[in-house]
Amino acid sequence: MDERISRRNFLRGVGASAVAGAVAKAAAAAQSVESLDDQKAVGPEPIKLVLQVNGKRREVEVEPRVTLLDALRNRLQLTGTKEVCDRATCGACTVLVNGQPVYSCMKLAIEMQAQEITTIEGLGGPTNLTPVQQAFVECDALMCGYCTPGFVMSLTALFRAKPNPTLEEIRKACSGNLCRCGAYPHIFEAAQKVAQSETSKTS
Amino acid sequence: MPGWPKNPKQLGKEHPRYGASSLVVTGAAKYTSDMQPVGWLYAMILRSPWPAARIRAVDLRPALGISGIRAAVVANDPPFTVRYYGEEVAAVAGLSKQACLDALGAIKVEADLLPFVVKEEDALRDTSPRVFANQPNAGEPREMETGEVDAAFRTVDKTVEGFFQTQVQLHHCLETHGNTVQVTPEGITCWASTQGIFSVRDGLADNTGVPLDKIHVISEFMGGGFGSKFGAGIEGGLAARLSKEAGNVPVRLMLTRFDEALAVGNRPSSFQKVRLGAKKDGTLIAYELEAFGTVGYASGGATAGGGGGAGFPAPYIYRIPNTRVRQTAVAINAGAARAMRAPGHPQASFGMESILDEMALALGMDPVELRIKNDPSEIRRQQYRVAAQRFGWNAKYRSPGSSEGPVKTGVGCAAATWGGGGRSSEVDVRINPDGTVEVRCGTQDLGTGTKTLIAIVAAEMFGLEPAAISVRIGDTAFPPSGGSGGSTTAASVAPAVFDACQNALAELASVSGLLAYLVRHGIRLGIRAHAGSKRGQLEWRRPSRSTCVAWPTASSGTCRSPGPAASSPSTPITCG
Repeated sequence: MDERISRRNFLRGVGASAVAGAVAKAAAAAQSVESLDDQKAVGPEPIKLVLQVNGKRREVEVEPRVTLLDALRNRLQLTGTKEVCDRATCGACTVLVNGQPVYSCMKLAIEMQAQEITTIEGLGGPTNLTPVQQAFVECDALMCGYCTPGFVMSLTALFRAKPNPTLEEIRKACSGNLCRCGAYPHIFEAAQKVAQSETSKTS
Repeated sequence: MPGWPKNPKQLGKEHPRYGASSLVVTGAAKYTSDMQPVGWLYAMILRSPWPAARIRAVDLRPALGISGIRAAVVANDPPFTVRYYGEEVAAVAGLSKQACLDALGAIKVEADLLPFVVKEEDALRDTSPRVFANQPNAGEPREMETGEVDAAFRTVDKTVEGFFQTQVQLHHCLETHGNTVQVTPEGITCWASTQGIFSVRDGLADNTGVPLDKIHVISEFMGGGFGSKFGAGIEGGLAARLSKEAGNVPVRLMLTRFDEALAVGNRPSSFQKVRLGAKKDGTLIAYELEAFGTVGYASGGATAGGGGGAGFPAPYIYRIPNTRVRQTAVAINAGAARAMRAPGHPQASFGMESILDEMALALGMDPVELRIKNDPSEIRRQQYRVAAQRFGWNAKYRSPGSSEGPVKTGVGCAAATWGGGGRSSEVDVRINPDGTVEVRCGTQDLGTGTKTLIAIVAAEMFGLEPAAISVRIGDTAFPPSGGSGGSTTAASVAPAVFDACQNALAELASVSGLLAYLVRHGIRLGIRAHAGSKRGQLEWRRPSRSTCVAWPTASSGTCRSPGPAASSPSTPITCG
């Protein structure tokens, strides 16, 4: 039980199960894995990537180790997405990938090709705010504001999936976002305001 | 001169946050960490991987050989000593984070490791390694005594003792410490994530030798400070040197999250041995505290944040006639302390309120009553009563451990205070010829609403809406103001805005001031005597300009603002 899973052991395990199936098949599989590896062997030099960001095709040339967050902020000048912890604990870098909230610090840019990426800049601008953004302004759901884009993205994903969530669902949707100033009460108030206006729309 | 209006229209009312929220919620607000001036370079710091070491040599050449690296500097000229894990050794600037990471890994450091100590209790022992070779780890204790402590303890009905500990805490502002700095032969431009733009300017001047008038610091948005963001910091100085080294290009040096946990301040720990004596009726008679805590490698309690040392107010809050306090700051091989949110008070409150609870239990007295009995503040005594009533204290409180079952739950009470107050600030108020009002002040908005309060005060003074005031802050080109720490910004800035508005209004209300205003703004007035039906009337005209101007009236201190009416040269000007 306490044998650690190393990558080698893991691959060996995969190989063994393939052998258990059919030797010939395993050989073919191994070959195809190898050729796949050849095709995918990229870097460490920069490579050209094509990203779909906020409905636009954006080309960047970055090393394969560059995170989506780094690419967005430092190569595409989309600095609304914030870098805070850079280790998947705070949610400030939240973007939507195919509509799902994702920590952009935990994704490599190279993995994100052919995905629909939405950043805070892809929502409303200062003169045409989305309901979530508008509610944040009206409820003063921020102090220093550095966590705000992340919260707005998480809540935007929530409201797209469920237009009139409960407070519990709102809190859960924000549970991956951290506010150091402690603006949570106003943030939840803003989210509830959006939920209420959705409810009154449907009823 | 008119003072604060008797029936305020803006003050004391609820207002939306001034201006910037729509920029923040759309990601359009540019924080220091978002600054990417043309030609900017990414920068990172190499930090000591040793808690104590003598650095003999730092070879930057391998770093400079990394593709994309444009500059590398040492933090100090070797040989030098590092005193904690995380102390700055060198810094690099390059085209990307990846280039910088590779360069940091390539720098060769030759060092002799030194003995170290990282725990407060260990550091106090004579046999322990010293953080600074020429001084003991324990600083000179701060001692205070009032009354006759030993005699008083002999007269009390109850004595309780306790040992309480609070740990070192990190600030962890969401935006890390850092600056975007460009050094050119003409001077320095610095975007700083700071609570004090002028202290950043001073720090850069100290670091670089560039005179103050050649340094321009800007902080439009900042992502949290909590007491840890004053001055340019070592990272600011390094960024300036990298900028120069790289050929005067802008360098953005924001700390990593890991750096943030090591090198830019923390709340000191506290180890408090407390003895408290009281009469049967709960009157506190005698108090004794023996405490120590660490300020990291900054021995003696002096810290980079200004305040925030290991000492704390004791006895806290309560009236006790006989007290003896002895507090010691202990150096260890760790990052230095800095002011953090009411520096000293959480430690003080925790120790004092804990021993009070012990005393309440020993006397069989209600904890709220014990506090009311000994708190010298009438306001707080009333607050306790109101709070206890609204909370339902009497129904909810039970003595510790008396709830049934192995899992114990309970309620408690405690107090804490903070001072705040104001300091000097300068403000420039301009009434433009088109009736618009600008207020400029070299303060900064940490998200606490500084811009909003400036707009409210100015709006009140001019009879306008807050949104109509242009508030410009966060720039050392504006009149100097203090750092935003210790809850002092509102109290510093508001009176200065009030004074400046009042002076502007007074100037316009006097004939010489009005004439000076007309000359300053190049406004030429014409006077036309009417013939015909308006015979005998004089009309003021401004023949040379096309915008209308708003004049204040001396009596009410308000301003008629006709708006930006682009009118014919014959638009009459109303003069109060």
